Amino acid sequence: MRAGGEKVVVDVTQRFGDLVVLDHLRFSIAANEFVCVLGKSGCGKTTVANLLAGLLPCSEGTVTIDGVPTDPRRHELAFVFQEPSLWPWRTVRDNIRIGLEIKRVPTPELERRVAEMIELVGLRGFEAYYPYQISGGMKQRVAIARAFAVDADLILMDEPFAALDEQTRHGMQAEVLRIWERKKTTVVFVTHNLEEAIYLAERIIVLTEKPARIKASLDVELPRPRDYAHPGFIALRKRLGELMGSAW
Amino acid sequence: MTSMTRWTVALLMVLMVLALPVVASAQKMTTLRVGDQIGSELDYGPYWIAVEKGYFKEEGITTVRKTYPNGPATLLDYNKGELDAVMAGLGPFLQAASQGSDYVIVSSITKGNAPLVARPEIKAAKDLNGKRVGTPGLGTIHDTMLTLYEREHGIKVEHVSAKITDLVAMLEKGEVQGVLCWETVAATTVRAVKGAHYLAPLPVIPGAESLEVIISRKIAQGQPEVALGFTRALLKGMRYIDKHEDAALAIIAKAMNVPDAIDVARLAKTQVKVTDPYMEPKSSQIIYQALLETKKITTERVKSYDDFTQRFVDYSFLKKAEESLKGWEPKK
Amino acid sequence: MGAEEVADVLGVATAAPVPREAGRRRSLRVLLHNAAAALAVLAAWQAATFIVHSVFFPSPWQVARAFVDLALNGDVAGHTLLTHMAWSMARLAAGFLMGVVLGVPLGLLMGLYRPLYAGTRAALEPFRFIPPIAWIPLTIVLLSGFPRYVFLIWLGAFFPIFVATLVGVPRVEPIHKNVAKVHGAGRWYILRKVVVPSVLPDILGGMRVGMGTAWMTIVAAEMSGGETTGLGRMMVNYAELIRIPEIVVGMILIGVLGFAMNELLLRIERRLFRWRWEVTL
Repeated sequence: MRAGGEKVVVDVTQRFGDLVVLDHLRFSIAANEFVCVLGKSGCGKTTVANLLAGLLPCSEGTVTIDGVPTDPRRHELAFVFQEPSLWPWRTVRDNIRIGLEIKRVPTPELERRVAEMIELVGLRGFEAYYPYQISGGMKQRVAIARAFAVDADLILMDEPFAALDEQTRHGMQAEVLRIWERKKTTVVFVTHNLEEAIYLAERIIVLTEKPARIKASLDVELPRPRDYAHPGFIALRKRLGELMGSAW
Repeated sequence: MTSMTRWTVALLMVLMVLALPVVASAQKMTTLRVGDQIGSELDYGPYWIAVEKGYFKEEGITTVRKTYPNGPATLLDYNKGELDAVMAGLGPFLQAASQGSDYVIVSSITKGNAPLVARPEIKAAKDLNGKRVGTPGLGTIHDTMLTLYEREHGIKVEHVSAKITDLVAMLEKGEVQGVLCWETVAATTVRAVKGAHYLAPLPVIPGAESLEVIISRKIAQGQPEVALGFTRALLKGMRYIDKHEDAALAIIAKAMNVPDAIDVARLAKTQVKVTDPYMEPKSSQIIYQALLETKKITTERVKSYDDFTQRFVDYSFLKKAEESLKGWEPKK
Repeated sequence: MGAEEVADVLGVATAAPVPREAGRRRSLRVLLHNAAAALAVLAAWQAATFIVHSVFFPSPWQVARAFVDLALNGDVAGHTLLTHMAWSMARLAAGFLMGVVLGVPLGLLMGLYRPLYAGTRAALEPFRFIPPIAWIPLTIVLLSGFPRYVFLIWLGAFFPIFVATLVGVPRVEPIHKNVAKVHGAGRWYILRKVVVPSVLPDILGGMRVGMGTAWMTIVAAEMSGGETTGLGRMMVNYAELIRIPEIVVGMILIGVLGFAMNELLLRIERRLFRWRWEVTL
């Protein structure tokens, strides 16, 4: 784990009725760290994201940010969902400002930040467009812009590029890294895609199948931008494959 | 029996058998569909007497009654061919003729029948000035009688149309301050609404013409004997009412079929006269004029009142009926 | 990356704005088609009068004449055509407004607090199925004048609006609400900024249905008596005088006004909901 303190600490056992989804799951994240949570479909990674975002109460244990249990009202949180989550009745610009609006950021500052994000995600010229007028990839750009517009304590991303085609996905992965490097925020990126995890993360947390526990926590020390053909990339990919392939 | 007697008996029997269909057809009943209005049994008293005492049956006529909310509604159905005879106000008949309807007036049936009932706080005609008065419809004779009342007393009121059955509720609520409608609804209103009274029990023209009886021209021309029979039965009914008023009232109360009918009928009978089969000419002319002035009729089809009486009024059946009923005494 | 490059890479689907000229030409064509259809209807009507030779079946020409006469001289009671139309519309507006003011908040409330709806359903639902016209006899006895009409119209407008709102609330996408929740929004913000905009299309759809019911109710209510003005009353007055052309004038005006109001609401809908694809009828 990177030095930089423990900004986010997770220590939960999560139940849905009698079903144990997360079993004594314990890990922590440093400030401004880009962490990928990797696991097979259905293993509970979305539950982890929801717990971190405060959308789900912990059945047993805590999830804290800066020592305080996750609270959307107190912490600055953001979430990029897998499905399109833009408000259809709002333009691109008005969608990006949602987080700032809720936290009552004063208008001049709000507009400055929105303009900045529009530039950053490359949507200049599309500010007045409605979600129905733009493609899936562009919608996710807007969601990312919305997430990074606020000074987030933590940004969750739950398989945000799973619904996009491969070309677009690669483009978006590069985008996210670029923006993260500019804005320096703590990011938890949930995925089942090995290559995506290696490409993006500073550290990969591998989850077992349900009831989920931490299988491994691997630091990724490859140079950026990461090259899929790099031997280190391939070796890591093989390693992760083995970890994922074997059940607990 | 001698052979002579046997042959005579046989002949008689054959004749009887042959005569049967003739007799039967002579007994065959004609059905007449008659249209009138709700709550009008007293106004059309002669009709109800004729039904009860079998005068129609004697003429070989079976009547089928169809009731409507007011005169104009009755005539709308008549125009479609749904009715053979109609009893309604002079106003609606004039209006219908003006619009191309065709019929024959065989008899007048009611005079007066234009009572004005008012709320207790209305004590004189001038109190009604600027207020609202309900009538059973813009096209009824009662609406026209209200216009005449306004002229007579130099006042102006708002004519509010409503279903005859709703007028009582409206008067009670004060939605209207007066109601001008036919009997026995007016009597019912006086009894039902606390403090309501007859502000004007009689119309401004004494003995004013009110309701007539018509038969379709098709029957008048094609089956004159039916028209005659119908008229005669009504005439008998009128004679009966003249001779046996109390008994007649009892019959009418039975036809009304409402609680306290006999009391309501007694209260109402001074406002109507139902025993004169001839139209009252002066008031009829005035009514015609009033309709012309209020633009309810035009001279497009009916050029004048005289034109109307010439084309639409036929007293020949009445005259024949009177002739045939000379010396006839109504049995109780 | 500039917008154009982004568009290229990602294969953007944008709504290409229709060039102004083509748009104008299209609406002109639609207008001509509609005019032709109207003329066809008139021709059929005129032809029918040749077949049905009745004094009581007026021709288009007679109706047109009656309309001009009514417009210039007013009716037999002295009221102008404008007075009748204005009164009918005023009653409609009052009742409809009340329908919106009561229907939308109640629909939102019941939609958000399901137990409240479930608990009152058995008592309230049956009222929905009583047609406003069935209330007329009762209202004649209990209410008078303007309030009576407003009540009847409110009955016609309220239920469609209420039900449309009620049904729309649970259909608000949870993900939209979650976006707000994650950023720390409270219930009030979510109601104002997520629920209401999501449900608004349903509400307006309900309003259009409610407007139609309300308009039909006002005509029946006016026919039942009590006031001297209104298109329904005008029609009944002329029915009493057996003047059919004027009745038809009334019918046509009622149809035209109803159509105009529906169109108005449609235009408002299209304006408000530029963010949707669908065109509603």
